[in-house]
This record gives sequence, structure tokens and C-alpha cells, in this order.
Amino acid sequence: MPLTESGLKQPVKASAADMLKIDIQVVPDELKVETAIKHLKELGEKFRSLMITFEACVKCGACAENCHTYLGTRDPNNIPTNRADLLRKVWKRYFTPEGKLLGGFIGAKDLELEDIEKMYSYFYQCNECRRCSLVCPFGLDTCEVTMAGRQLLHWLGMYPSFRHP
Amino acid sequence: MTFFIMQILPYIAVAIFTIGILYRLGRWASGRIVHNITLTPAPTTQAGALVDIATEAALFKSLFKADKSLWSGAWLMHVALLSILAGHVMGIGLLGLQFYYIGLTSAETSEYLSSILGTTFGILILIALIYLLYRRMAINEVKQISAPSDYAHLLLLIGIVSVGNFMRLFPEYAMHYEPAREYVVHLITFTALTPDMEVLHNPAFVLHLLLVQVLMIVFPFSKLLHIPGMFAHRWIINRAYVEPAPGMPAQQWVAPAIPYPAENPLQGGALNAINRIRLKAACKSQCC
Ligand code: SF4
Ligand code: SF4
Repeated sequence: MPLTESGLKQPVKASAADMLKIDIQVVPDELKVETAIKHLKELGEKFRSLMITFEACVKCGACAENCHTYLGTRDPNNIPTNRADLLRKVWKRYFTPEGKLLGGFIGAKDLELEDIEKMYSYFYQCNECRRCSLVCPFGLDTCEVTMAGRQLLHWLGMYPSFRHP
Repeated sequence: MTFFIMQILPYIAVAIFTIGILYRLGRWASGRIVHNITLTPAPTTQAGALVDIATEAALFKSLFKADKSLWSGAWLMHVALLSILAGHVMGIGLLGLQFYYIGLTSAETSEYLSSILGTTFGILILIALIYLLYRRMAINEVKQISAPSDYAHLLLLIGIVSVGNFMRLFPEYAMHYEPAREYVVHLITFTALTPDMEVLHNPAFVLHLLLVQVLMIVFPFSKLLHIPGMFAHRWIINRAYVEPAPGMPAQQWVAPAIPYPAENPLQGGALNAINRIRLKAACKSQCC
């Protein structure tokens, strides 16, 4: 995957014109954050397993040494629980009482545009193998979070190009 | 202050704990299980799935396979914690005579055994907690994923356990079963405490109780939710593998009632809008 200016590895994005062909309006940058929060609420409230994965992780780290992308890159953002944290922090910040109250202390964070770019990088570095779920003491499924994350990015109009280079 | 901690805070703590847990569980229950995300290898019977969940809960099987040293610390910590909780119920409820009542020992031996078991598990859990804290600070990956609250929870537990051990190991601060039971009876029957009660004059006991109440208050709003969370989540992913998944509509493909236009006069978005209606009409699943 090519490096972007920010140093993130990201797939080449499909153009706005191509996205329109699959009925997706690319959301302009200034609206991305609020749109993402709106969609995250829908996703989290709809899927019980997703909500539990957001709220029950104990940060034990058992998933770290079992993720191939982490083993291959040693990039801390590729530790499964950190990958899930890209959405989990936002979920906690906006949709749980403790995150609204305590914020950073419990690992919640306001969503910013650069976090969305980070999601577009790291959610596409997961190969959906579910090893993280297999080794997690509670079976929390970062794979499912990744899929939800890709869905969310897709709604924002951030999708890998489907054209041959 | 002591009066507030001993007489008023317990009711607040129990109320927040209960309502908080019900709120969280209710919120989870409002989400749906829309895909079959059974984790393989999956059993094919419901009984097999329940056995899987039970071994996970009792022995932390996945964690054992993944990380032996974390498993040792975590399993020891949880087993000691459960024993200590049971010990509190037995000690305070039956005054340490539980082994005598089931006919195993004499009354004195039962009390002695109850006390020695309490001290042992108290020390074991402290060792396990300190190991878990050390691990969080020493292993790079774990450090990178920790938020301040992760340390705070461990420190809170270490605080509770240390004060508890302190009361056991220093006889002048010891809290015996009888006054503790008297105090609990007062709380349960909503009777006001009297100033001469022993529990009010033991600062270690007051501190122990205060920290426990803090723990109860933060419980529903923290990662401590992993206890109900484990069962709720394993209920979704550790199922018997059958098609279609239990409780989910059979996803049979039925030819869409709306025919494709013979020629495609529509371009781009509009065509897709039509296709979406066709698919929606054909899909029996209720996931969108
Ligand atoms: S193994 Fe599970 S509980 Fe532990 S850090 Fe990973 S996702 Fe969280
Ligand atoms: S599903 Fe993704 S996050 Fe989980 S172990 Fe596989 S590659 Fe890593």
C-alpha cells in the first residue's frame, strides 16, 4: 500500500465519480466527523456483539502477539485492541456515561479528521482472520469491529479504488 | 464522615451498582444478533456450546492457550477473588462455622480453617494483582494499550486487598465476624447504627468498606463490565454451529418480484436505487 503525506499506509481511494456509480456521495471533509459519529451510533446500537466489544475489553493484551499484521509490522496501531480502539474510543466518548464524564482517563477521545484517515489505514490492514477473537478471554471480535469500520468509511465515501491501476 | 461512609454510602453504592448494571445489560439487550458469527471450531449441539462457555468461564481456556503467564496471574486472581467473596458471605453469615455445619469439623476447627483460608487467599490475590500491575508496566504491548483507568482499577483492588490483609495480620485492627454481622444486619434491616458499635471505631475497616463502595460505584461504568460481558458475548460467538443460525431467519434467496428492465436506460445512482429496492424485497433477513 502506498504511503500518504501523513505517513499512513492507505489503499488508493476510489474517486468521487466512481463512488457515485455505487450510489455513495463522498462526504466533504468538514462534515466527515459528525457523519461518522452518527453512523457509529447506528452501528453500535444495532449490533449487540459490537457494543459488547466496545464496552467489555480489559486491555489485557492477549490479542497482540496473535495478530499477523501486528507481528509483521510491529506497529502499535495494529495490535487488535488498538485497532478496535479507533472506534472504541469514539464510542466511549460520545455514547457511554463514563466517557462523557471522564474522557481521556478511561481512554475515550474526541473524533477528529485525522482519526478517520487513520481508520482508513488500519481497518484495511486487518485481514479478518479472527485470531484475536479466538485468543481473547471473552472472545471479543476485532474482526467485526473492522468490518463495521469499513462500512462506516464506505458511507463516508472512503473506499479503495475498484479500478485496475 | 465515618457515619456517612458506614450508614449512608452503602445504600447509594448498592443502588448505583444495581441500576448501573441493569442499564448496561438493558442496552446490550437492545442490540440485535443479526449475523451468525460463531467462532470455529464450534460444537454442533447446544450442550457442547454450554460446555465451551463453562470451561471458558471456569478455566479461561482461550487465555491458557494464548498466554500462559497472563493466564496464571489472571486465573489465580479471579479464583482467589471468588473464594474471598464466598468467604465473606460464609464468615459473616455463618460466623465461620460453615465447615462445622456441613459436618466436616468441630466448631473451633471450622472457625480456624475459615480464618486461615481467608488469610491465604488474601495473600495470593495480592501477589496476583501485583504481578498483573507489573505486567501492565513491563510488557511493551500492554503498556501501549493501557489507559490511566486500567492502572487505577488495579490500584483500587490492591488497596482493598491490602487493607483487608492488614486487618487479618495485625490483631489490634482485626475485625471479627460477630461485629461485622451485627453491622450488616443493621444495614439490611435499615436500623440506625449506634455510636458504640465496634465497626465505627476501626479505621481500617472503614477504609476497606469505603474502597469497596468506590469499586461498586465504578463497576457498571468501567471495564469491570467484562464479567457480564464475557457471558453476553460468548453467548453470541460460542454457539452450536447449525444452519440457519438459531433465532435467525433462514436466508433463502427468493427471485425478486420486480423484474430488471430489459434495456438499461438508467445510469449510475438511479439504477442502483432500483437494484436496492429489488434486493430488499428479496432478502428475508432483518439486518438492515
Ligand atoms: S484479548 Fe480481548 S480483552 Fe484482551 S486486549 Fe485483546 S480484545 Fe481486549
Ligand atoms: S482479525 Fe484482524 S485484528 Fe484480528 S488477528 Fe486477524 S488481522 Fe489481526
